[in-house]
Formats: sequence, C-alpha cells, structure tokens
Amino acid sequence: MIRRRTALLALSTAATLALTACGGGLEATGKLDPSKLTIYSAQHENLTNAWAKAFQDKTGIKVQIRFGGDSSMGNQLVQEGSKSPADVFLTENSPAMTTVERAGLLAKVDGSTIAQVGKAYAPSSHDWVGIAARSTVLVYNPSKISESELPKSLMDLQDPQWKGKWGAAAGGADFQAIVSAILELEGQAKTEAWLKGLKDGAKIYQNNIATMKAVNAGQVPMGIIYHYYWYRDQALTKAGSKDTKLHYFGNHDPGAFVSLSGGAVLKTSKHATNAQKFLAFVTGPEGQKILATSDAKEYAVGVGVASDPALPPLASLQAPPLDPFTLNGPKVISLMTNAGIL
Amino acid sequence: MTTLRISGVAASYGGEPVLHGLDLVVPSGTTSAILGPSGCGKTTLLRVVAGFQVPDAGTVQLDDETVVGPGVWVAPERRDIGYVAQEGNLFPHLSVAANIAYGLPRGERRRERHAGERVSRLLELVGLGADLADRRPDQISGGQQQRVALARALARRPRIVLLDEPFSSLDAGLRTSTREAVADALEHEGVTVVLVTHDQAEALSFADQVAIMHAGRFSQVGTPSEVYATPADRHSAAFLGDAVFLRGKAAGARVSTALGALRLHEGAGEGPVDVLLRPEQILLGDMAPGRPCAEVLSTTYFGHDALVTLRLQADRTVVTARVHGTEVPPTGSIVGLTVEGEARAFGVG
Amino acid sequence: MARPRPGSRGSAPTAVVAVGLVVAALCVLPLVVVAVKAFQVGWGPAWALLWRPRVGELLVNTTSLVVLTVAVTAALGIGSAWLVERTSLPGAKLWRVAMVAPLAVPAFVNSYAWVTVLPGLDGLVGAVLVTSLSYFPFVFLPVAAVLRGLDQSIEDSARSLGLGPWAAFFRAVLPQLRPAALGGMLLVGLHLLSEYGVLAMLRFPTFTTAILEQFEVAFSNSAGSLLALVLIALCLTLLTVELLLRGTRRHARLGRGTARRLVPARLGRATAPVLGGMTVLALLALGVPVWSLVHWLSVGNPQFDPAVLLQTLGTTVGLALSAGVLTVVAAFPVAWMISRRRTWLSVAVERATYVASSLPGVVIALALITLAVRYARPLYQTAFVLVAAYTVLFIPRAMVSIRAARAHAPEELSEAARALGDGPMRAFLRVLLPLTAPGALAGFAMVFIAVSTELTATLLLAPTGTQTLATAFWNASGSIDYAGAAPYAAAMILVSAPLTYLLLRQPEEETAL
Repeated sequence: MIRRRTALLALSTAATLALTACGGGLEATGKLDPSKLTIYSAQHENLTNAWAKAFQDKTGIKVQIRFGGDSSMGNQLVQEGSKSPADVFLTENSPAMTTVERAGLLAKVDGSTIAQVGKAYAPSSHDWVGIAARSTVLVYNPSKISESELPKSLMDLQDPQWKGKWGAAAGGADFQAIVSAILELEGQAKTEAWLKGLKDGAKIYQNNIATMKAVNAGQVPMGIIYHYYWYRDQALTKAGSKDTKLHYFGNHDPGAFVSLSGGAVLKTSKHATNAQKFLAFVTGPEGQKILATSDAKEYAVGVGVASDPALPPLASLQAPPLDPFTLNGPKVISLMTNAGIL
Repeated sequence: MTTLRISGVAASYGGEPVLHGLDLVVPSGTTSAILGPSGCGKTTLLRVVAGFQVPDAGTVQLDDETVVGPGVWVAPERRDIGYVAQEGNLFPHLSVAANIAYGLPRGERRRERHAGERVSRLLELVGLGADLADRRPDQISGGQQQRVALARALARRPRIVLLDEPFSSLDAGLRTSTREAVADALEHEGVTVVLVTHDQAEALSFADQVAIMHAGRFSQVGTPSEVYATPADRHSAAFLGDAVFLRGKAAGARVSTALGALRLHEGAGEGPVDVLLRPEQILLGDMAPGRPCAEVLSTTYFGHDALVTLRLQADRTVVTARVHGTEVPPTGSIVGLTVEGEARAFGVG
Repeated sequence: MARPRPGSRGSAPTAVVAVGLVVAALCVLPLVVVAVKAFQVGWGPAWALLWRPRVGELLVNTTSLVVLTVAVTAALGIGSAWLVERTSLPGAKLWRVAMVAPLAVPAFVNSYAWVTVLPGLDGLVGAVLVTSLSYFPFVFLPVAAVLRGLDQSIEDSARSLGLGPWAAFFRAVLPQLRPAALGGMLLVGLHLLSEYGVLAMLRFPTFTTAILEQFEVAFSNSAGSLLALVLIALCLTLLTVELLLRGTRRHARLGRGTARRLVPARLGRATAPVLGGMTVLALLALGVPVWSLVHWLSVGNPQFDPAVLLQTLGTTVGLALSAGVLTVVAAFPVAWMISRRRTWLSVAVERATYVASSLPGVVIALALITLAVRYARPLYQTAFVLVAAYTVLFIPRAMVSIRAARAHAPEELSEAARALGDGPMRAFLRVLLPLTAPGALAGFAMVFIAVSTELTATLLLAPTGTQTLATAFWNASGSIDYAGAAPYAAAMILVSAPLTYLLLRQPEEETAL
C-alpha cells in the first residue's frame, strides 16, 4: 500500500515537473519577444553580442539574438518562410546566405549601406551585404615542409606529389564556399579534376580548427583553412598553431579566395526600418571598428576602416575578383557528391 | 444461501470446444465437487460460472437471477461470487489483512486494513492466527496463502464460493490440514460451494455431491458413496478408485465369475458382462472348499493398508485385494477369497 | 450487459489497444517517411546516387566496423562474464560493477578521452578500439545474467552422460548463452550503425556521419534520404540475422524450485594473470575516460561560466523529464498488450516499436523534420519534435522494465480483483498499476539517462538556441576546446552513473538498451 502511494506520488511529481520543464524548455529555446528586433546569427557569439550591445546603446532599439549554425539557420529560415520571426540574418559564410536569397526571402539592402562597404563586398543584387571577410590560406608546419617547397596554387594540390600531404575540412559548409570559388574561376571540368585530387590525396578533418591542430601536431604537413582561426589561436594560447605558419597564395589564385560573412534583412520583417539601421550600423565605421578591435580576427569590409593590425592588409592579398552572388551552392554540392566527398 | 443452476453450458478454449452441454444443480448451502482428469474442461466450467469466460451456449442461474444466458451477461464483479484459484493469487503488494479486506466497501476497508474486527474473525475462521495480519503474502506458506485467499473471498459474504483445485499446489503434508480448515470454514459460513479437483479422495471427502467430468461432459452426478460404489461407466469406476474387473456371466441379479457367484447391484439381464469390484470387497482367508483360491503374486505396502496382487487358480485372472497393514500375506502363499457386498456389471468392453 | 463474444477472456480494453496502435503507427512512421522521400527521387537519379564509389566506401567502412567490433565485444563480453560469474575470480561483485560502468560514459565522451591520451588516434583501428570499450557491456550484461542463473544440474547431467568438462561447457552451457550473447551483439551492431560522435571525432566516415554531412550542407535532400535508406536496410539485416541465428527458441525460463548454486571453476595459478587482464580491461574502459576528464578539469578553462552550465543542465533535465514521462505513458499500453495473450496484433505492435527504435537517431530525426516541415509547420523547430524523437528512440527501454514488472502482475491477479467486486478499471488501478509502478519508474529512469546523453538526434532537432549537455560538449570538442568540453562531459557522466545500478538490477529475461 505504501509502495503504491509512493510510486503514484513519484509519477505525478515527475509528470508535473516534466510539464513545467516542457514549458521551461520552450522558454529556453527562446520565446521571442515580437517587439524586439530579432536577429538570427550564425556569426560568432562574442562579435554579434558586441554589435548588438553597441547598437542598443546607440539607438535604444532593443535587440534579441538567436544563435545557430550557418546551414541550419539558413534552412530554418527557408522552412519558416513567411512565418519567420527573424528580422535580420547574419551568416558566417556566403553559401547559407545565398540559399536564403535564392528562396526569395530577402529584402533589398539600403543603397547607403551598400555604399559603406567596398564594391567587392556586396552581391550585385544588393539582397545582402558583406559584414566581414575571411581569406583562404594554406597553413603549414615548417618542420615538415619548407616554404620553398610549397605549391604555387591551390589547384596544384590535386597533383599526386601532394597525396597525403594536405588536409581540409572538406565536409563542412565553409569549404563549400572555397569550392564554389574554384568552380566560378576555373570551370566545371577543372573543378571536377581538383575534387578528384582532393578525394584521393587529402585528409578530411571535422572542421578548420581540427585541420589546423593536425598540421600543428605534424600529422599532416599542410592544410587549407580560413585565416582567422590561425590568428585567433596565435592571440590566445598558441596551443593549436605554435608550430605552424601561414602562406597566402595571392596572385588572384582560387587559393586566395576571400569569402564573405553576410548580413541581410528579411522581406517579412516587422521591423524593416530598424533592421536596415542595424545593418547600416554593422557595416558603418562604428560597427566595423568593433569588428576590427574584437578578437574575431576577421577582415573589416567597411570603406576606410582598417582591419586588425595583426592581419596582413586585405588589399595585399590579391584575392580573385568574384561576385558573391554568382557562387553556386547546389552545383557545388552535386559536384562534391559525384566526387565521392559527400 | 444460493442455488446454482447450470444448464446446457458449452464452451471452447483456444478455438477448441471443451464443454459439450453441461447440466448441474448445486443446492443451496451444499458443496459439489467437479472431479475429472486434467484437461477435461472443469476449470473452464468454473471460469464460465465466475464470469471470466464467455460460453458458446447455455445458461447459468444463481437462485432466480440469470447471470449468463442468451443476450444476458453479468460482469464478474457483479455476480457476487467468491473465487479461489489454484495459486491463491494474493496481491503481493498488500498485507494479509489488506488482501482480506480488499473486496470490502471503502470505509470498512480502511478500518479493516490494519487487522480490524472482521479481518481477525475471518483469519480465525480459516484457522490462522491474527499475528499474520501484517505479513506479506511472500512471508507465509503456501497453505496459509490458500487459507488467506479463502478468507478474502469470504469477506464479502458471497452467494457462492468457487474453488479451483485449491490444494493441488500444496505439499502433501499441508494438503490435508489445509483442506480440513477450509472445509470447516465453509461449513461454518453455510455457503454454497463448487470445488473443482482431479484428486478423487478430495472430492469424495469434501463434497455432498460429486460430478464426474470426462471429455467435457458429466458422466455421473451423485453422492460420494453413489459414485464410488455404483459408478455409471468403466471410466468413472476406474477414476474414482482402484478397481477390479472380472469377466462374468449375468443371470438377472446374480453373476457368476471366477470369484464365484456374486450379487449384482442391479439386474443385468442375461449374458456376458464385465464385473466391477473394489479391492476392499475381496477378503483373504484360509482355503476352504467352495472358496476360489489364489496365489499371492506380490504385495504393495502403504503402512495403513496394503494391496495384494493375486492370481486366481481357476482361470489365472489377476485381481487386487486390499488388506489391513497388519495382515499382509507372504508372497507365494495360497489363500482363499470371499467377496463382500454387491458388484456392478457393465457391458463387455 | 450485452453478452460479449463467446470465448473472449476479456481482452485488453479497447482504449488500451487503440493507444497501443497509435504508438506503433508513430514508431513506424519515420521508416515510411524516409522510404517515401527516397523513392520520390526516381529510379534513375536514385541509382546514380547509390551506385557511387563513395557509397561503396561507406559500406566497406560501416561493415568492417560492425563485424570487427561485434567480434571484439563478443569476446570481451562473454569472456569477462564467464570469468566473473563462473570462476573463482576474487571480487566478483566489484568486477560486475566495473564491467557495466563503461555504459555510464557516453561513447563520444570516451572517444574524446582517448584522443586526449593518443592524439593521433583515428581510422578503423581507433573506431574499433573506442567502440569496443564503450559497448562490450551490452554483451556482458545478458550473458552474465544467464550464467548467474544457470543450473549446475544441467552441466552435471552432461557430465553424467560422459562429456568431459570442456565438452560439457561447449555443448551444454554455451548453447544456453546463445540467445543472450546474440541479443547483446545485436545491440552492439545497432549502436554502431547509429554512432556519430565517435566516428566523426575519429575521422572514420560511415553512413551516419555521411548523412549528417549531407544534412549540414544541403538540409533534407534526396542524397541524405537515400543514404538513410541504406542504413535502414543494414539495420533490418542485422535484426534478421540475429533472429535467424537465435531461432524460434525463446530464452528458456527457469523452472520453479531453486537452481543449485554453481560450482565455480577454479582458476588456481591462473588467478593472477586473469586478475591482471581484467584490471587492464577496466583501466582501458574506465580509467582512460576518468583520467582524461580529471586532466582537463584540472587544466581549467578561464572562460568557464557556471551559469551557462547550469542553464544547459536545466534544459537537458527538462527535455529528459518530458521524454521520460511521454515514453512511459506510450510504452504502457504496448507492454500491456504484449503481456496478455500473444495475438498477431500484439506481436505486430511489439515488432513495430522494436524495429523503429533500432533505427539510428539520425534517420528518426530526418523523418521527423520532413514530417514537421511538410505537415506540421508550427511544430518545426520546437522542443516537441525533439521529445517525440526521443520517445520513438527509447520506447524499448521503458517497455522492458514495464514488461518485467508486468510479469509479476499476471492476469490472474486482475481476475481475482474482478471476483472481489472491482470493475476492469478499478482492478487496473488497484492491482496492476501499483505492481507495475516500480517497473515504470525504472523505465522512466532509463529513458531519462538515455535522453540526457543523446547526441545525434539532438544535433538535428534541437531548436536553434537550445543547448543540451551533449550538444554543448560537442561544440566545445569540435573546436578542440577540450578543457571547455570537460565540465559537460563530467555532468553527463554524473547523470548516467545511476544507470549502472539500474542495469545490474534489471531482470534477466531481457536487457534492451
């Protein structure tokens, strides 16, 4: 009898707790306040928070942020469609932004905002604007390979002599952007060949950091990553990069591809004006200064704003000129699938 | 006190028909035993009466109320029937007192749960001490569990109590004492009882009326002495006890056999018959003229009595006789036989 | 009251059967959704997508992983079970705990620990090493349970018929272990097919990692669904193989009457090396994770924010509680249906839930996303879909405990209650429910623990902005921020620790995990 009572009591307690928690759990997922400006951000948390705080301080407009990954947030926006509560979408890289753009969900960015960034840093459609930039780099371990031995072009890495000597996070969305640049610059046939070389010869890592650390540990002499991972690590403990150096391909090579983080306003935004203001802030001198002085180590794209002094100047990198709008995500995926990487 | 009437009950189990039209009347306040081998369907009949199984046909009436009939079905909880299963089925999560008080109305139940007056009386009725009231079922013996199960069934003062082989899962030593305690309790309550068993000694000793079931039908219904002494067919005869069968020639109320001329219980016409005798009817004595002689082949000693296997010298038929344990003849000796009482005749089979 | 059907024994109330059917249907739904989605691709493109070297590579990887790890875990599990239960090995109680405790360490935490100790660990070797150490308790548990309950008289009878000790073991004892060992090996295989965290960390691509990759770059596309279909086929193959090998012989129940206490085999001089071997196994399986965790926790993380850990813990607990309750409620009618007469309907329902839960979390998650997006848009990106996935995934764990408890509440007790004046509902509430409540609680606890450490489905289904312990750990370890991942790993192990106790208490009949 007592056991029965206890058992029933326990069950009902659990049920009550569960229901509360369910409600609580939903709270944790962020019941969004419709009166605030809602930002879906795949950008790094520290940076986004810094922007949001500064914006709030300056304009008094209340901001709430939901964080997630590039692809998952991009897909979420596509699925949410016109019912999405998001006002602003910030990405880390361009493919996710392009997906949302192609779904017809973005409003045109104010011309004045576009003018704040260099011409190369916004698509011709003006559906979104670059808010930060990162460069593709080759990270190498000098004890395993000397500078003079390094390949001259990203495309060289497909050669059999580099088999097993380089690594990349090929399965990630970040890498997709690099391949889309190759596709745009070199055409399908050469891209397919290069991908085959990647498949045969490269070591695949989980992500950029894992690649960098593997190079650092000497597991593989070279790796293809984005620059800021290296600089960030160097600024902190150097635990992941102290035995490595960076090599920029330059020369308008695909390996010098500069990829953009994007910012956009959703067509269905209920706070369109404020959203545009936010983008203007982020791409304006104040926002870009915040970027440059943060620990993000990414390149500023604002006209006349200097990036973090630790970085080599963006202009000197000789990035290949590309319209970010023309970068083709789905085609890249299909090519990578055919090559057997995905 | 309730009379149970079963009429034309037919039922299936697992798709196979097991009961083929059974009729039985259990008069109010009496005990009936349904006796039969395993698998004959007796448990199914009990479950039909209790309401755990729906029959294919037939009616069941308690006094004037039809509980099972065409278009009628009273749910088991409304039949007011006490049911004690083979395994007792005490609720493991309740104490003995709580088990007994289970069927009582809520207010009374709460009072009784901790060895109230009613529970104590019932425990006493089934011959258990009040100290068991707070124990759990797994802390008492099998026999005690069966008694508690009975007390639990009786607590609601049911109209009729059904017992499904209640003693067969007990060790032999416990069986007798438990059986006696249960019989006393039931008699004290004066309730109508139906007992189902495969143990013929149990049926004969326990009941006022014995119904022998064979392959889903009653082959005979009568008092214990009736069914024992005058079984309706060979099968019942064999089932109820040790039996001796002889070939004989009937002539009206007498039949001549290798054991001599015997009186028949009922006239069997003329002609060859099979004659039934019980071993205790064959008496061993000295050889004498006119007495059939037999050689003792072997004896089986049971302590209180013994069965003696004999070969008749006349036609070498083998018969069995029962003797007191103190009068066992040595193997190989020749004895003279007399028959006491009447024999039963069956058709030659 | 109108007369019920003749011959009916008052089968389960219609309400119970209805709920049971609904649960079974929901469990089968993911399978149907994935299949439909995959078939929508059309034969030509589907064939092209499936008949690729990459798929061949994934197949080779997955198959070799499964074959090798199942073999290794079988050897480790049966061997250690025999040593602990049937020999004179000292400290059997402790060893029993030590052999089950590795289950309290989620496999992906184990891989994180191993990568700490052996930084270059990767590929097939690494994967087999880590998964074997994580999963061998799945074989140990049921085999040890059978060995514990074995009647000495069986072996005695074999000896009296002229078989020597080894022959008696192989021909009389080992066959009785077969169902238990096969069941454990099946569990290992199914877990391997679902495994994501370990294999991603160790850079060993299998179908599950590839599906997640596809999802990452292309959301819910046909390539991913096709890979999921192949994965489902592999799971069903494993289930079928196990069924065939086990035969229709169900695990024999021991008869009534006490089994004679086993005479343990004496190890004698072999005791020391055996003890050494067992210690090595325990060190590898338990020592490495513990050491690595302690190491990273002591290294410390300057950015550690207890508030974040607490919030993550809160979210995880909330999800686990909801899933636990929902799963127990869903499992109850199914368990009820099964423990009565085995009609074709109850068997079908049982099989449905069992098959569905054998599917990898990634497949369930993908299916639920498709369903939510197409038919229940408001539900998409809510915790509800995640909890639904957990329910489908973990229903067997609840069912096992409930069924075992139900076995102690046989139908006869309900009948006794009916004869004492209770209607069907009251009999259920007063007799069945109290007797099965402990089993339900145990089932709830098992599901709670499983949900707290689930990674793959959570990665796919957690609403943006929601972190559980597992996903927070994964984010940190993905950035190779091992020190930052350590508190989450520690929290997960603490939550799972009671699992060891629960599993050791679980009845012998079935151990489904």
